[in-house]
Amino acid sequence: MKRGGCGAVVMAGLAVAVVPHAVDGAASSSDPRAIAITGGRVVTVSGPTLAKGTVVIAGGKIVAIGETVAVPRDATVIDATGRTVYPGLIDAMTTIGITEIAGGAAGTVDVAEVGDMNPHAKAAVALNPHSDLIPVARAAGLTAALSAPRGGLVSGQSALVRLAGHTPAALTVKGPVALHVTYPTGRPPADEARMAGAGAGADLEPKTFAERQREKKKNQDKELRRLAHLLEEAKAYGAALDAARAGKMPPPRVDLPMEAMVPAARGRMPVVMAADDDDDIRGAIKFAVERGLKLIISGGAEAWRCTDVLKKHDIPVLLTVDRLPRKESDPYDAQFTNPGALQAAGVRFAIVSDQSTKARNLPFEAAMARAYGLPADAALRAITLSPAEILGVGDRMGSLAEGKDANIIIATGDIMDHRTDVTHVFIDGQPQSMETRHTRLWKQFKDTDPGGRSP
Amino acid sequence: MTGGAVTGRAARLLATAIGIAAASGASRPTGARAAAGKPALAIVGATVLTAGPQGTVAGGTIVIRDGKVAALGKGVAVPPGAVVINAAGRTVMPGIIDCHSHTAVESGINEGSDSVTAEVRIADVIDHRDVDIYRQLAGGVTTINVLHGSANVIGGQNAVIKLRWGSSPRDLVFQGAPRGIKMALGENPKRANARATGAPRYPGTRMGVEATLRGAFQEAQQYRREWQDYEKKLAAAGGGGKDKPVAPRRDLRLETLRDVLDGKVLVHAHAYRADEILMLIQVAEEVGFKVRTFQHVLEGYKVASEIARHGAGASTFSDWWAYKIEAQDAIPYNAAVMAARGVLVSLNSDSDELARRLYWEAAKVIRYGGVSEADALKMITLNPARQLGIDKRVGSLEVGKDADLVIFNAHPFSPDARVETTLIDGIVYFDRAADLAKRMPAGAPVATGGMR
Amino acid sequence: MQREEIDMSTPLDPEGSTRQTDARWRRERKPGLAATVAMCTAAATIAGGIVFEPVPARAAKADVFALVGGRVVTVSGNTIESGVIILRDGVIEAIGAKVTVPVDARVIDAKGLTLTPGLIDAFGGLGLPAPRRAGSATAAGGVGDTNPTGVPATPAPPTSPLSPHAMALDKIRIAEALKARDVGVTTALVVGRDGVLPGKSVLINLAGKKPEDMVLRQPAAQHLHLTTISRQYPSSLMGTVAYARQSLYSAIRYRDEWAAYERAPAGKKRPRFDPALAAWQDVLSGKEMLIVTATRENDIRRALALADELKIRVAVAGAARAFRVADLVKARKLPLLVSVSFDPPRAVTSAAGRDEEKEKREIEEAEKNPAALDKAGVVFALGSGFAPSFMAGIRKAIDAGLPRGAALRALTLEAARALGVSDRTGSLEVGKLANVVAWAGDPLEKKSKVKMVFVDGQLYEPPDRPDRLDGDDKDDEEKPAPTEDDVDVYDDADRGGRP
Repeated sequence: MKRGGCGAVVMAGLAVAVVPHAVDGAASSSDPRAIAITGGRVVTVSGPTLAKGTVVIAGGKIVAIGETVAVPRDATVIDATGRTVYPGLIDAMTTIGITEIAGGAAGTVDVAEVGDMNPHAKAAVALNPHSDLIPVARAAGLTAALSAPRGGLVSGQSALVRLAGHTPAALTVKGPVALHVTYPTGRPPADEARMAGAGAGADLEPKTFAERQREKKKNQDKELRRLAHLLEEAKAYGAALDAARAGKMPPPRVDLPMEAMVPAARGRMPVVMAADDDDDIRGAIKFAVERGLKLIISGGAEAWRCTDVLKKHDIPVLLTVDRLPRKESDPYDAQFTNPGALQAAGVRFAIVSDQSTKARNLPFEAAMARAYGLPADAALRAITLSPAEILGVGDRMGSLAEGKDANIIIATGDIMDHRTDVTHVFIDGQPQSMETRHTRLWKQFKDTDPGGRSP
Repeated sequence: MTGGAVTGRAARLLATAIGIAAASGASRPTGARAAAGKPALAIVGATVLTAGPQGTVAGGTIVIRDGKVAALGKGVAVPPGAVVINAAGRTVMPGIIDCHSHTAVESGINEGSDSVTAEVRIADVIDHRDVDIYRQLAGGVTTINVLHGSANVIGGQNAVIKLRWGSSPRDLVFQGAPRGIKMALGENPKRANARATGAPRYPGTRMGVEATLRGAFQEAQQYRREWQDYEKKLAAAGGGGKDKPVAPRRDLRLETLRDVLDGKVLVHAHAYRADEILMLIQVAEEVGFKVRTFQHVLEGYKVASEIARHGAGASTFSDWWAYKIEAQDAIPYNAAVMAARGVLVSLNSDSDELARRLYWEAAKVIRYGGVSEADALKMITLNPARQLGIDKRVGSLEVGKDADLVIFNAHPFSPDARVETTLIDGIVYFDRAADLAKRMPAGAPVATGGMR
Repeated sequence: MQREEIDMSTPLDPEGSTRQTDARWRRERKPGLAATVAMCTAAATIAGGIVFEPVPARAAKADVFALVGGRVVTVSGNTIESGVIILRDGVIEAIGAKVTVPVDARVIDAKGLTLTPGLIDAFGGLGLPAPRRAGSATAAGGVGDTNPTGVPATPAPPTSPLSPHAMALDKIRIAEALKARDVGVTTALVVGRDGVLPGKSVLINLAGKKPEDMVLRQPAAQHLHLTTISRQYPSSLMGTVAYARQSLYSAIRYRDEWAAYERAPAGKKRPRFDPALAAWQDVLSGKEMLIVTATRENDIRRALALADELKIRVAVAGAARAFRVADLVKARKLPLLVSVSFDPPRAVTSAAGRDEEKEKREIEEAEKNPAALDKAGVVFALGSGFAPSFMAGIRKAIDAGLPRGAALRALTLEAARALGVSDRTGSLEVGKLANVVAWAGDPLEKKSKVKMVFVDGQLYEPPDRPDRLDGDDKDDEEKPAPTEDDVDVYDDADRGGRP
């Protein structure tokens, strides 16, 4: 009623809203006390590394960070002496939350909708907050991930998730983030059913190489025209919608897929195009530039061959490092040196897992790039601040800085070292449980052994 | 002397001795071979992780002669005339042995049309020009156990090969390695039928898998009896004439299974679930063979004591999981738990891609379960060698063993680790500097990533 | 260069043995000295380009031809710049710079033409029905297998892909086969493309009304395609190797079992007849050769390993990567029937992630393979290898560096040697089959035309079409399919059978 009273209610409400629930039976649900992490080596990513620093968290944010920062009275102090404090890692391309067991449990897989045109399929509505994969990734130091549908020509819209939350809404940091498209290669799609088992692939007609090349070109042109046409239609549809809202004309026929494409067609929502080959990356860039799309390339296996055009149009690339080279004639370490080549050319990139169960190995992908020439700080940035920036949340996560979300991890050593353990994970200032399905099974079986023959 | 660079005479000799084709690409192997009487090779100044009784030797020297380790230790003298590789600041470890590989196979790793195909042999289809051989050399792998796939309850015979890039298929074979055969339990052998159109292939359940195993070995026992009978008759007939008995039909499938029963063929069994691990142990002990290794064995931690009692080894992943239902309970602590119970554990790749990074996969068991660094290293060197029955020759750096070794720029478990040079039988089959040198035609885009 | 004489002897058609020069006829015609001088003068005149009048009354009996004034490329010996070839009764009766033209010969003015032995397609499916491609249930077998032989693995029903006893002769369509004469082919080894064991090939001469009439050797050889079958054993290459080995071991047992039964049947259960195992017996005994279709480098090694293990004779067909094992081929004197089908149709299980650069490179290597073999001193034959256009393939090999002379040898004498018939064909020599091609222009040259083709001494004149040797695929497909009625004017069978 009175403004002050309303204000107080609103403030309380905000306080509750801002501090998310911890998951997996973490100690306290919304603990308003500050937390201070002291004594550790603090790698901020956005600024200099502090040999011994303090990070203070309150209200879900980093409120203070420095070498000589006062620890608030009442704060829970976490002694990180001998350890390293990092920003939570961010994996900018995964299927985490929308898949559980890829093979043999189709009921748990919601990654690829039927048909090849699904712009309105949104990962955000299909997230499973209780997926076993989430705690596993989190316990390895990831605090946020992009969960994206795949398959077909237009796969759908991705969501940026925090790796803690009881509901899809609680998980979602930002959604939709981007429209995901597979740049048409012109080749027939890999058909999983055909590839499995003995003697599969029976219905594929034998063709000569020359024939396949011709068909590939034809198919690719056809699909590109189709995509171009759809984007044009979407623009027109968007204009019609706007006109209808302004009362200037009756609303157009309902068309959810078309409506979903409007922001991307207008260049407001990023379009992530999966493209690996040199030709396809260049083709994707040309396509996007011609139509004013805001392009992000994912895959980018041959990005090192087209840094010129990537740099020219400032197209960021989401790279997977743990892959074999595309061609037999490629250098053996082409995928390992790919990030370094982009770094040297001034092309923006992030390193991603492009998967879900191996998201926990994200720091080790960065390590491989580092072992093959990417400077260590650039390697770390590729799994923290760079993905945040590319996904449009660079102002709130990806580094340890005052005012940013308190997504913080504490590790026993270099996060890119396979021997390092992660001891603490904070998401939005909430300490997270380090228990996973794996630790539970380990504890259950490491000392007892029910194996053996029945009498 | 620059740390680790192969300089001067050593470099020139290596350049001629290597003859490696262009940077991983136009991969035309040229077959550098060791000739007896070549000068000795000495690797000097490295930290040597021997995986053997000498443990870690700091600032050690390794002398290689005729493809073998002739001397190893701190302060070992470099023989006059030896080619010297200066490895100061480098770390040397034994060549990595991948106990589960499908690399270098031409035209299919599965003869999936039947559920028992013991007669097919991977050795018949080794592809010596598979560029992944070279890529794995660049990841420090020197010996691989190339297995039949897991589409069948009893698959085909494996081939243990050394990655002597440039050699013919025959020259890749690890001479003297015991024969082996692949078995598979669980989803794969029973799922293979679900994908085929037309009549599904038997078996479709784990029950059928067990029945297939028993049936196959019963037939093998029958076959063995037939041949024993024939031999008796032949001896009795004493030289033939009209009553000379006709030999039974030589059946390549049953013959191989008979050899399994006679202990001449090692059994490598792909298994996931704890119950099927126990099932195979049961069947093996009743029928009369031993399981040499369980492969994948992702639930091995649940029945580790039983595996140890039977005497089988376990070859597993460091941390793959949840890709199939039977992998749902896989935990990265698996290797550590089994090792603690006395199971001989190795870590493998089952993947051309992962095989290049096995030195890092091994590091993971340090964090997941507290395995020591020395034991973790053994899981990709001495342990797989023992599992494959080749540990007298490889798996550790010891005097008298093959000179299969890898020179890293740092400790293999370090996040900056990178393979610089890989030797097999004392011959350099991979050298990063040589590979880089071949890559620099003017104007061509080169992925070096700002290489230092 | 190495000679490789492979004895592929199975008994010839007994009637064929009378296809020699009729001695009686020749003796009556033998000229006296004066006549000889006159003849020589006449010959000299012919060499100068004067054409005799064709002998009218006997023109219908076109059994005797005199090809006069052409450039005679014998292949086996020196080229005669202006020579005479006499063909009689399907055989070369005489050949030389100065040869008496028999009075009863139909004289053909060959001035300006080049005469070569007829081309031999040493390995292919000439005359067999083309395998269905569109919508057919065909594929390579095995996970990820790309079946480089281009053999669609599941065959058109009802032939089983494992039929060592099948006979290619049973399926030949004569009109299709005869089409090959248009590009100068006179002889062909024919075998089915599909399956792992397509059966036994037949070696045919392209003349006759019925397939049996064409037979030069039947069966010619046993065949093993090192490929796979989809959804059936063997569905992987290692399965195919095991299958071949097991077949031979089973055939050994079969042989011993029947031999024991024949020796002393009393009291024994009679053995079962197995046509497949029976079909392997001649290979086991060494009487028949096993031709292994090898598209990969290691397939050649596999063929040799099989030969060594089972003590059988092998030749290799396809051989696209033989240049990589040139030394081995030479050391083992392995007959090679090199296919000019460089980009065969393949069933590809998934194109995602394919290394197309590598595929392209492999096709180029295959095209350069014949040139590389020639350079390495390896002798080999050329075959169509089921390519839609034999001549286009030959041209590709020449463009990729195979010298034209070497190509011609590979298409004639070396082919005959590899197939074990060099004692009767493959070159222009007295006594050999009258298989001759008259070219306007250099043989195998792009703009050249095949003017005349003699097969078994019968004349065939290809229809005059522009760029006949261009070997464009489209050309072949556009031609209306000839029917059984489109046979030669000079069909031997019309004239009352053989002597």
